[in-house]
Amino acid sequence: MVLQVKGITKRFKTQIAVKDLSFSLAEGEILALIGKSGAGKTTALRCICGLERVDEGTIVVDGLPLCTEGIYVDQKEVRKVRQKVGMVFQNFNLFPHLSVLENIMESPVRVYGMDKEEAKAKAMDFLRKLDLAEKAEAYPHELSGGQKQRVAIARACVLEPKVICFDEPTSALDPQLSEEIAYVIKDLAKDRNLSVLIITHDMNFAKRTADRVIFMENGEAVEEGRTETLFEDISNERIQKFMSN
Amino acid sequence: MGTISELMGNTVELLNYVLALLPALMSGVVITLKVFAFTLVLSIPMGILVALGRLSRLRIIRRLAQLYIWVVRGTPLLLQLIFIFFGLPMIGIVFSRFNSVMIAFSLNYAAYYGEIFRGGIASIDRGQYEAAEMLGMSKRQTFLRVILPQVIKRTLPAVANEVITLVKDTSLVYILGLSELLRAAKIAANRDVTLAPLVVAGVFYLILTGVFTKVLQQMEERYAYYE
Repeated sequence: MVLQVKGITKRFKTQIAVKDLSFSLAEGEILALIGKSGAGKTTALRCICGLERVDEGTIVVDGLPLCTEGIYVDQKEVRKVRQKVGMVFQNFNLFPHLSVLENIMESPVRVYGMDKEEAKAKAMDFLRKLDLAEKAEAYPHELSGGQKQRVAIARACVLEPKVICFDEPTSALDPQLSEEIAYVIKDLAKDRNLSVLIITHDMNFAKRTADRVIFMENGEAVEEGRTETLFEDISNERIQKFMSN
Repeated sequence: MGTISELMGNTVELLNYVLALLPALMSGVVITLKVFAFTLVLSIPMGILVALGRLSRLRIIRRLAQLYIWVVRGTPLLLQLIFIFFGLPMIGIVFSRFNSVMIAFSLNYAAYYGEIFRGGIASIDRGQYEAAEMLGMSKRQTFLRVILPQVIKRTLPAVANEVITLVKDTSLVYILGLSELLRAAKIAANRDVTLAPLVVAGVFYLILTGVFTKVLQQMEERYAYYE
C-alpha cells in the first residue's frame, strides 16, 4: 500500500472536521473522497499532505510514517514524507511571477539540486505530454483554468511523488474540460503507476475517474466501495439521495 | 527700446549670478544625493526585517517591532536627528554628523517601509505558502523566491511615494550643519539678499524627483509582465 490512513481525527476548536477516518491506497489506484462541502474531505486531504496536523491517528506514505497515533515525526522526516506526496490545489496556486517553465523547475532545481538543463528537459517532457509545450514561456495569468491546472499537475509530477492529490479538480472547469482532466488523471495512474487521491463533490467525475470511492458525511466515511458497484447500488438510499441532488 | 535692453541686461546679470551659484549648489546636491542613496540602501532591507518582526510568531518580537514603529513614526524626523546628534552624547554615545544623519534617516525610513512591506506580505495568498511547502521549499526559500518578488511588485507604488518624500526630507540635515542643497541655497540667499538661489534649489529638487519618478515608473513597468 502506498498510502495508509488509520483512524485519523481532526478537531477545530469546537467541531470535529474528520472523525476516525481510515483507508488505504494501492499503487496506481485512483481513490475519490466524495461528499458535500463541509463533509471533511478537504481537511482529510490537507492532513495527508501534512498541511494540517491530525489530533489522532496514523498516516504512512510509501512505508514512511508521517504520524503515528497522533504523534508526528520530526520536521526533517516530515519533509521526506511530503516529497512523496504531490498536490494540485483547487485554485492551483501557481507562482504568478514565474513562467510556466520556471514554476515547474523551481523545486527540482532549488530544493533538490537537479541540474538546470536536466530539470528543463524533464519539465518540457511533462508539458509536451500535457499538450502545453507552446506555453512554456507564458505566465500563469495568460493561461485558461484548464491550462493552469495542467501546469500544476506538471509541477507536482516533476518531483516524482508516489501519491498525487487533487482538491476539487473540476471546480474551475467546464464539463468538457472535466472530461479531459479525467483522462489526464487516468493516464497518470496507468503510465506512471501513480496513486491518485481525488477530493470532489462531483459524482459524475468520481464515477468516471475513480477505481474506488469513499463517501464522507460529517467528517466520517459512511460508504466505501468499488466505483462500478457502489454507484449501481440502487438499494443504497444515501447514495441515491446524493446522486439525485 | 531702453526698457528692452534694460531687461536683457537684467537677464544676463541674473544668469551670471545663477552660474556663479552653481558650484556651491552642486556640492549641496552631492550631499543630498549621498544622504538619499545611503538611506535607501540601508532602510529598505531594514524595512523588510521590521515587516518580518511585525509578522513574527513570537509575541515579544511583534510587540518590539510595534513599539519601534510607534516611536519612530510618532515623532518628527527633525527631532530624531537632534536627539541622536545632540542628545546621545549626553550619555556618552557620540556619532559624527554624517553617521547621525544615517542612523536617524535609516531608522526612520525603515519604520515606514516596514509598514508598507508588512501590508504587502500580508496581502499574499496563503495558498502561495502552501504550494511552496508542498514543493519542499524551506521558509527562507519560500520568502525569498516566492513571497518577496510578489511583495516588491505590489508595494512598488507605495515605496515610490516614500522615495520621493525622502528626496525632500534630506533637507532636514541642515540642522546638523551639513550643507545639503537647501542649506547651500539659503546661505546664498541670506548673503545676497535675493530669493533666486532658493528658486534654483527648487528647480534642482524638481529635477531630482523627476528623474527618480521616471526610474520608479520604469521599474513598475518591468514588473507589469504578470497579473
